[in-house]
Amino acid sequence: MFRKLMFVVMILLFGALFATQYTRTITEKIEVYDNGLEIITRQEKICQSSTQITTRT
Amino acid sequence: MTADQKLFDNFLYEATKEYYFLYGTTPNFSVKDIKFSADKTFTATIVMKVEGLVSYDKDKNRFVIARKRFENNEKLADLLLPKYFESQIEENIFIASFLKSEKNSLVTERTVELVLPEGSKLEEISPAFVSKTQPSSWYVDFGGGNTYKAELKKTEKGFILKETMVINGGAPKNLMDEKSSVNVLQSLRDYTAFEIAFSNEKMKPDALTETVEHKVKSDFSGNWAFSASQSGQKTLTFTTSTTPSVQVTATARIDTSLTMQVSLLIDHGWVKTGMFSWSWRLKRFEASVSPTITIKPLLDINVTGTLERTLSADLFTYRPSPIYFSISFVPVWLQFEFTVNAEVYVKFSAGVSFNVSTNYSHYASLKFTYDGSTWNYSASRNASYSGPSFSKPTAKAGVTEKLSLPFTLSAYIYSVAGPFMRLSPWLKAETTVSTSNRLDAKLTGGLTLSGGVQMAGWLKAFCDNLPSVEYNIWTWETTLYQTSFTY
Repeated sequence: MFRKLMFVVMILLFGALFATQYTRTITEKIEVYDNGLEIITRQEKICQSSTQITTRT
Repeated sequence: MTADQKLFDNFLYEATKEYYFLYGTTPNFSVKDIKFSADKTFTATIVMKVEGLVSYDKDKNRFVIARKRFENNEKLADLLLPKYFESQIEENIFIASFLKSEKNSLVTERTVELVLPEGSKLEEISPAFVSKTQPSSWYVDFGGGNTYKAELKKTEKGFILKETMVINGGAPKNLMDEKSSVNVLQSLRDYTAFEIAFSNEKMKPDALTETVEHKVKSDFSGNWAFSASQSGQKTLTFTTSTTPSVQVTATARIDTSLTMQVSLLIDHGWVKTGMFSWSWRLKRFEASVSPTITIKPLLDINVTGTLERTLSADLFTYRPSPIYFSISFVPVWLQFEFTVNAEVYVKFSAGVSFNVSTNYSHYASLKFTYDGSTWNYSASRNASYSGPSFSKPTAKAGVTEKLSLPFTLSAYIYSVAGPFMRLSPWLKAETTVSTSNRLDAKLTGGLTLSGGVQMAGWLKAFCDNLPSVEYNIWTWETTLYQTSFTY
């Protein structure tokens, strides 16, 4: 019975601590040419979510 | 095709607006300039052509590229800065809604590399416009763990700017506080505001291109508004029964057609606190939902004994294709959802079978408004019925049966937050034995209407931190049909 209770407490604790962090990476290159032309190349990557333990208080 | 064009135009407007705020000119690109790939990581690449990014400083005989200089025009900066703040706040409102909870976060790592033309000599990097911040690092603290951080490094060919932006679903407390919002907005104003001066012998000042204005330059409405509509039809027959000793079959057939409109409004309140300095507050948030529904509830009862029972079932959830729009580069989708359940209460004193039905038409328009301190709603609604019918029961028996069809109609951003409406039309058939050969029959019906707004993220924090608000709006009840049967 106690072991079952501990298991429930652990599950609740993990539920409270785990958080999902989504990441987005943007890489931008601005190239300036001497003829007055400029090109911006923007690449955006969205990764799969990662779950991490936070230390939020 | 028209919808795709509208979607692209909205994206082009939103995406280029950000560059206009940063560089004072509007880049251009077409659908062909966008490439997507999706494996484990979703990647979007856009190639943009820009004109007017480089200007010439006659006095110092050098070329300049500036971020957040606002054309060095005080009047224009006074108008554009609140629009820039609004765009950042709105973007974060929608990101925070997507995240649902303050535990979750979106970390954006942005690297901007500027490459000057060959033969350029970098002369100086200095603060732009009114910024006094040394152009090496910046920090904006919205509160609650929501931060922007940036670092600038010179390179041989130009510079590299590295930004880290953390947005979570929690409250941006510093922005919400009238006094500390002044500091937040000042640091946001100065965030990555700098200019780079360089010389290049090959470049001719006359060959430089002109800046391209953005439509936002003349749009100083101070709010963000959106509206969309969708329509659909659904027909469903639901049958349920109990076994084994007593059998009842309740067939509730419903034919529905739905047209729904939704609109959202975020109205920013600004208080000028000094030269290029403001305090921010949410002045007004409005969400409205206006569905038009026709429904035909029908009950077909067949029972072989005495019975008192409640039967219930989830009928269906109807989710048409989402509607997309962009806030800056952030894609936002609005999901319309229509969920119907059914509940039938039956009470029979003897075995009997008969059926009842009617047609309901219902229109409602609900608007929920947060004015910076309280929630209010306004509603207009109308309901009517036609063609009620009550077939002669096969036996002279006392009967009570009631069919309820509770609907939830919602228009949710990221399927998380937005306005919703709950509508419960019902139909009740009753018979009573009045004399030895007469049975009185009565059909009553009506509906109850409630509605509200489901909240999440920053917007939830701005609106009194209410998770949701729901009002009981209307109760309507009427006798649809009354008759007597002789046996």
